Amino acid sequence: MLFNSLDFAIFLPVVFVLYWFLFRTKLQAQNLLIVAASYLFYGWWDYRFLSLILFSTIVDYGVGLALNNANNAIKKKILLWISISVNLGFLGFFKYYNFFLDNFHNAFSFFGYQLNANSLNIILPVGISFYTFQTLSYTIDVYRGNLKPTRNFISFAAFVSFFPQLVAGPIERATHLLPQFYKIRKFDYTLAVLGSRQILWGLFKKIVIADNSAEIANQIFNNSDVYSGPTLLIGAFFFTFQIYGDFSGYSDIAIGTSRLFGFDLMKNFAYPYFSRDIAEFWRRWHISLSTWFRDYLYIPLGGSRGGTWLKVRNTFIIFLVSGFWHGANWTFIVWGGLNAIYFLPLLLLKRNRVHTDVVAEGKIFPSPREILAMGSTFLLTVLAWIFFRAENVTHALSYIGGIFEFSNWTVPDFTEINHAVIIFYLIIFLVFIEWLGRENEFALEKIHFAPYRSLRWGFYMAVILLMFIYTGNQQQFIYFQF
Amino acid sequence: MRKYLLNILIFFFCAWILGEIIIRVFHLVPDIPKRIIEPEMGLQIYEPGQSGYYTMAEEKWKVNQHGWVGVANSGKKAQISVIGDSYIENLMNPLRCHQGYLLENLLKDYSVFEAGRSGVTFIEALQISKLLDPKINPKYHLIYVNEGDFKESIAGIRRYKDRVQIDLEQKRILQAELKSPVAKQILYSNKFLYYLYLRFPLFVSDQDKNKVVINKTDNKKFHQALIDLFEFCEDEFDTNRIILVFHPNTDPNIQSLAKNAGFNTISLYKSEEDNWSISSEDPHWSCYGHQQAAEQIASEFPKLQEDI
Repeated sequence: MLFNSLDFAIFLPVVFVLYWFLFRTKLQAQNLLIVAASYLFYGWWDYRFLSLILFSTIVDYGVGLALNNANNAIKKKILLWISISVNLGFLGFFKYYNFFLDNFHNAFSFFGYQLNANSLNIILPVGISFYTFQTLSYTIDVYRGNLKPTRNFISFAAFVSFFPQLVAGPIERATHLLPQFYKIRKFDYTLAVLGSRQILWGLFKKIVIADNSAEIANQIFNNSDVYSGPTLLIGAFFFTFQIYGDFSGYSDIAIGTSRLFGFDLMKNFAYPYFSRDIAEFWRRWHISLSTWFRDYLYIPLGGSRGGTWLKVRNTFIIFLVSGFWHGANWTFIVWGGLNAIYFLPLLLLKRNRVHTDVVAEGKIFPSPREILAMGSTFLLTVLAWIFFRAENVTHALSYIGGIFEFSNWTVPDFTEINHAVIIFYLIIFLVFIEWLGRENEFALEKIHFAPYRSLRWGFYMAVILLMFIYTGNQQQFIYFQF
Repeated sequence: MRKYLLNILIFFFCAWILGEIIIRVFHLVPDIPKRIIEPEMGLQIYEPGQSGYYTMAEEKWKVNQHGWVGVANSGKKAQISVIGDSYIENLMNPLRCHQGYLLENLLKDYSVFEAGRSGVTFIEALQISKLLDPKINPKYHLIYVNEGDFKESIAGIRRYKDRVQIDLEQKRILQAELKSPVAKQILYSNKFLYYLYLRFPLFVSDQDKNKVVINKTDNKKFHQALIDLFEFCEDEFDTNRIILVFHPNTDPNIQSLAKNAGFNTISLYKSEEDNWSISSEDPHWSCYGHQQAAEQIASEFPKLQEDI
């Protein structure tokens, strides 16, 4: 079920009314409703894969309890590896089987050997990378002693399958989300209003910015050999906003929806395109994944402690794994590697934590230096996104080559690119509103420019109007495939 | 909770009112005229005298005395009628993008009378031509058709009670009923609701499911039905005065059977890259599409005149 679909527009109010009117007095009933709703939400896409979630839930629930009862370190380690193997086994099979097979095949062919194995026609279960990591966080935290395992299966099942963030995050830590299922939720007006605003803004980002930018980006990327450098640059620019609108829009809707049900999810995006260097960008982009890798991979590897070689190694590992997490394609790995190259100088010069504050905090306009820093960081990310979007590495390289082929620079013909100018203005509107709200959790958290309710409502209606007028062709959320 | 729900309801009510005002002020959706059944042949026409706005246009349509909207001119050397479904009714484009208006500019000797209504099938279009003969006496009838209009004409393939169809076994034309007139009236009067209905075609997939799909095993049956249909038409209608204008990509088999039955035909064509549609959600022709169609017809029409 897509957030931007009629199905969800019916599903959400129905679950909301049931939750607060019929199930509000009993904790177990609230959690049970969440599990049922979540399984319906997921099964709407493909009911067959519900068994995967259920199996993963049972395994991790059991491992959690067994870890609590285990009395020696070896037993605990075995239990942890059972959980890791099951979860990563599913992920590896569904997501990476064909990739590894193809690459082994190519490698063996290169050396003159023929590998007799056929690739499988595997459907990638939506959101498998997200809920796998979420359940892994549970067993790892229980193993580390950071969390007491739950005996309540329904609460645990609700934690694993919680529908707002099931298929595209934020990837919650068990230490943060699971305890919220232990206590009964009471309706909180302020939280619900904030949630509604966040849903509205998320829908705007998805429906208006991402879906429209996608049409332009797709047209340019799919025909990149016929376009001149400036048009290719425009294509990369629109993809940059497509992926931001798509993913941060999804996160906003997920967090907003959770708030409607009395839950607090972690922030996933913090205005990443206002970052002044790549290190700041990575503290602001897909925060739940970055911090997951930091906590469960980077720090166990030694983090930024140790010698230069160790720092370089760990940085590359984390970025390459992060890239690979996004998909079984070399483009994602190169994208990760490129970001590692961007990041390393900052780390080695100990400048990776220079920008931990909000840009131009308390001011309306940034300084020229900040503009320069934001602009250059933005351009670096645009360049990296080309790898993320391209069909393969060769396509990405030829795309970048096309941009820098200055002999072929002509003024872009916008008549060929449907309504690109209008979408550009809408992106300016997005950037403007996000700039005004950059000190808050999300752009519309505190609408300072509209202190009166009438003004706020007028603004919401204007946003809704823009959604009606500029609805792009409905696209699936990009991150569903990850 | 009560406060939240109340605020949400008030907000959406205000948004609804605002949407209604904006849509009415800017005519974002067309006004849809009310249908009636005319007594002579039992066909659906519009109630004469009604008027309303075309989409995003300052000009108004008016239902003429014969129950049709659009161009209804006379006075030139001869008259031709332009008959078809919603493509010809064309409430989504201003008058200057109508086939009648465009053809009158391209065919200098002819006045044009448009008789378009959404849902018109091939057999109903022929019936309309019969209805128009005594009233406006056109020299030729231009009937715009696509593949679906033939399939939807044959009751044996699928019965549509709201469309004129033919029962080929009994050689009998089945009249159409007015389908959910009250619900339609509510939808058309509530402009915001109608805008949402048009803008977000939620029921498209369901409509597609209902569309008549002819598979290979049914092809023979459909082919025979077409032969029977055209035989019936030869007997019942003055096919020599009828020019069938086939939409681009209409099955060539249907076109050749039509020719064999004595119909004059014009086949519209467009390349894959050429986009005649209003938008990806709305396949109706835009002004550009109508212009292309009219130009192709105007270039073919003199050759046909020589043959007729």
